[in-house]
Amino acid sequence: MQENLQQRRYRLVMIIDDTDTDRFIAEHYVKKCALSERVISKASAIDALHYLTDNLNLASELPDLILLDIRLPGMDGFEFLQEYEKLPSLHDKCTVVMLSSSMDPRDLDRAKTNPFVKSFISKPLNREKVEVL
Amino acid sequence: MFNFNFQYPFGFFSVFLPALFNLGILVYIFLFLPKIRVTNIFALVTVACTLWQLNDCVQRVSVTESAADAWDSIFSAAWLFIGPLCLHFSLLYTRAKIQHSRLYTYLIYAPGFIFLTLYQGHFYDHPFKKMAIWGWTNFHNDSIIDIIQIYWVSLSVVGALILLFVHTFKIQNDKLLKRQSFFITIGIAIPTVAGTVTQVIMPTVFHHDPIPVTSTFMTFLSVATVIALKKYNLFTVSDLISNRALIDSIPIIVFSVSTDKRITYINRFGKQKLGLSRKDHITLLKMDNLFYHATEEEIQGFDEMWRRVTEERKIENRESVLMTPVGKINIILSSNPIVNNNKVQGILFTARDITELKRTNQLLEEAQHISHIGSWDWDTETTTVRWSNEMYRIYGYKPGELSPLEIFLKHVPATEQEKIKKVMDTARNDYGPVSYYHSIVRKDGTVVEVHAQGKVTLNERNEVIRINGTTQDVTELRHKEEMLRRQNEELQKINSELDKFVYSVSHDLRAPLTSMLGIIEISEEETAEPSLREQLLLLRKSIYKLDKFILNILDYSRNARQDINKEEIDFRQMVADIVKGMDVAGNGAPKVDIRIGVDGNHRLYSDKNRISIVLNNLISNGIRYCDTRSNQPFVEVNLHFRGKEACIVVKDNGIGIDKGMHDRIFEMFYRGSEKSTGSGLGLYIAKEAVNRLNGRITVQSERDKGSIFSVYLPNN
Repeated sequence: MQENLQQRRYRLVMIIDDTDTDRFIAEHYVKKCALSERVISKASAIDALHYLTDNLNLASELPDLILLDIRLPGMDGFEFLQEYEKLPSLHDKCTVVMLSSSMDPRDLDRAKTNPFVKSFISKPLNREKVEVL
Repeated sequence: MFNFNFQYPFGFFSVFLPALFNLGILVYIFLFLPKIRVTNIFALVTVACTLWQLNDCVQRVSVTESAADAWDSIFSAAWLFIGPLCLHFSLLYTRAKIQHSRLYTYLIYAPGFIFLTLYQGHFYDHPFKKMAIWGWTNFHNDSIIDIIQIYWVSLSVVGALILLFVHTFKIQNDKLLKRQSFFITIGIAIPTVAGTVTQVIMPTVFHHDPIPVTSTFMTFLSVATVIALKKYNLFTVSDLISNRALIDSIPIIVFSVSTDKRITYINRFGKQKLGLSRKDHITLLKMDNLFYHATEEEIQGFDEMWRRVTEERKIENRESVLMTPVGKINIILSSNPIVNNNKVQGILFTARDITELKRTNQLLEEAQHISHIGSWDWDTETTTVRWSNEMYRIYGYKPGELSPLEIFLKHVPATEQEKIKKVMDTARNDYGPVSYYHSIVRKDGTVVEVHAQGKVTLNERNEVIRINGTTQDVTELRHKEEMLRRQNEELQKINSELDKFVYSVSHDLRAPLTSMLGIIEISEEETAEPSLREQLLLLRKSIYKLDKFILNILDYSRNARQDINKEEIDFRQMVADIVKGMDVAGNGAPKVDIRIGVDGNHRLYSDKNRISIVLNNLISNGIRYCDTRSNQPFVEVNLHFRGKEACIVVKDNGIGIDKGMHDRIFEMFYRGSEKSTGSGLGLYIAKEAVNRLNGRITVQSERDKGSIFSVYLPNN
């Protein structure tokens, strides 16, 4: 198939989203578009953060792309980014893309001005949007 | 007596010619000089002069001494009174301060009558002497009475001369007056010196024959005076104003009342005011007739005033009311005792019409009452404070109940007093305007807040003499302000909460929609079954519609609550983004041609979010309602500039809107036809957004011809 011909661009993709449907869609396209072979899905930012801090020394277990939802229970996307800032060893290797159904211009602005956020993708994720990554 | 011999023609003509000349002057005086006291007396001087000269005429040409004596008896009053008359004239002319003393006229004229009686009655011998050249002439012998008499005449004239001389000397600023006075002085000096030397000193001191030239020389006085009076305009216009004329002309009612309360005089203005004609016999009026409408209380007041004025001789003022043909007038009645000969002869009343003043005062008073603004006036020199009636009311007092200072000290808290004192001290130092707030514990114990504002008045030496201003009860205003502030705070809180709420709700509503769209897309990819794909498309359309509706509500709430934030807008980019967004929205690539046009190099300055909302709605309408039968459906977006106004025109060749619907399409939830697929919010939101930007939106459209929406916006 076509997908298999494509080069895998990422080694490990981390999806942070509290909605299982959205996690499913994201995983589906990551795999379908052969973005990466490995996907780690986390339902909360706190879980994701724990995972990252636990594996800080294991380079192979760390993601090089994080798809981050904004609205998350407990710790939201932006709060996660504040914590992420405190993990400098990740910054070089990892790209953060924000993913949200929010159309609020303030969210867009905040995402755009955050130095760690590479781009902002509005939901739903589809083939075209994934291929840009 | 009527036998004359003209053997001394010089003696005769030396007085006859001046006499004729004087007669001429007399005529002139009567014809041309103003008729006032000083000219009347001067005319008398001239009459005396002429008669004296005529006396000398006939006396000198008399044949016998007894004839000369007879003529002299007839005319002697003339030369005897020349002295007092001259003195009287100079007293009047120099305006010596002797006006109301009757004594001076006695002093001047009384001796004349005594001397005349003595002279005419031949109580002492006064012989005549026939002198060479002159003819018969008075010969004042050594009789002591005779000497006193001529010295008296001579001294009177010398007195007049001194008066005039001093007067001339004293005049400083008025050159004309000085010259005039000088002329008269010279005119009187010549006969005085001549007469005193030749007819008084020579015969009485040196026992030399007198030289009778005085009467001749008197003509100098007449001539000099007439020249002075005429040429140098002796009489300023003010001299011509009599007291009566003055009183008649002032716009104040003046009337005098005798001690038995009869009206003895009313000035012309007063008569007019009271509706009396000139012919009315005012003497029939009594004081009571003027105030016939007075109340019992007022009458008592009048009686009391009458007593004080007549007994204590005080000047009294009181407010009263007068009835006139045109209605009641308010007056200030001043009463002055008329004292003459050390006795109160009557009362002089003046009544000033203060109706207008009262009315103005009343208006001011009412205005203050309505607006709860009192006014105060602090005379810093006398340290007296005056308050308007409203001022008392602010403190809960009746006007005049206590003195302003007492009320202030009693009802303004001590700390506030300190504060006000400081403000006033500052104002006195830098002359600045005064503005401060302070509280008052009113008489009934309630606390009110007032705002005082004032200004400083300086005298010509830049010293503060007065600070006056207003005090306004702002308690209510303060309450309202406080309420407004609290409401505003609450509103802000609600607003921000609502904002969060809308944000959360919209997100939580949209998130599942996007999830559904994601799943539908995956399903579409994984099936080739046409009917399933058709159903998935319908599902997707429904979701879009719901999503659009949620987005509309979001736009609406954002427009209503967010502040306007103006910035430069890249118009082309914005339209392009919007069109691109519509692609993504899944209507499929629009078959509609989108054209963008911008006037010149102008820039649009406005609120990005709102312009985006407006364009979004107008463009999506243009696309949605395109005419599918048309070959080239288009939506044209143009930006024009006209002065300080920008105009966005969105034009399409779509299905158009019926004229009858134009008024309603901007209404909330209004949907024009079965073809309307939206929620009925789009144009309503667009209009709301334009309104927030102080712009306006208009529509031109016809069924099947397309629509033009124009949005006019201030561009700055």
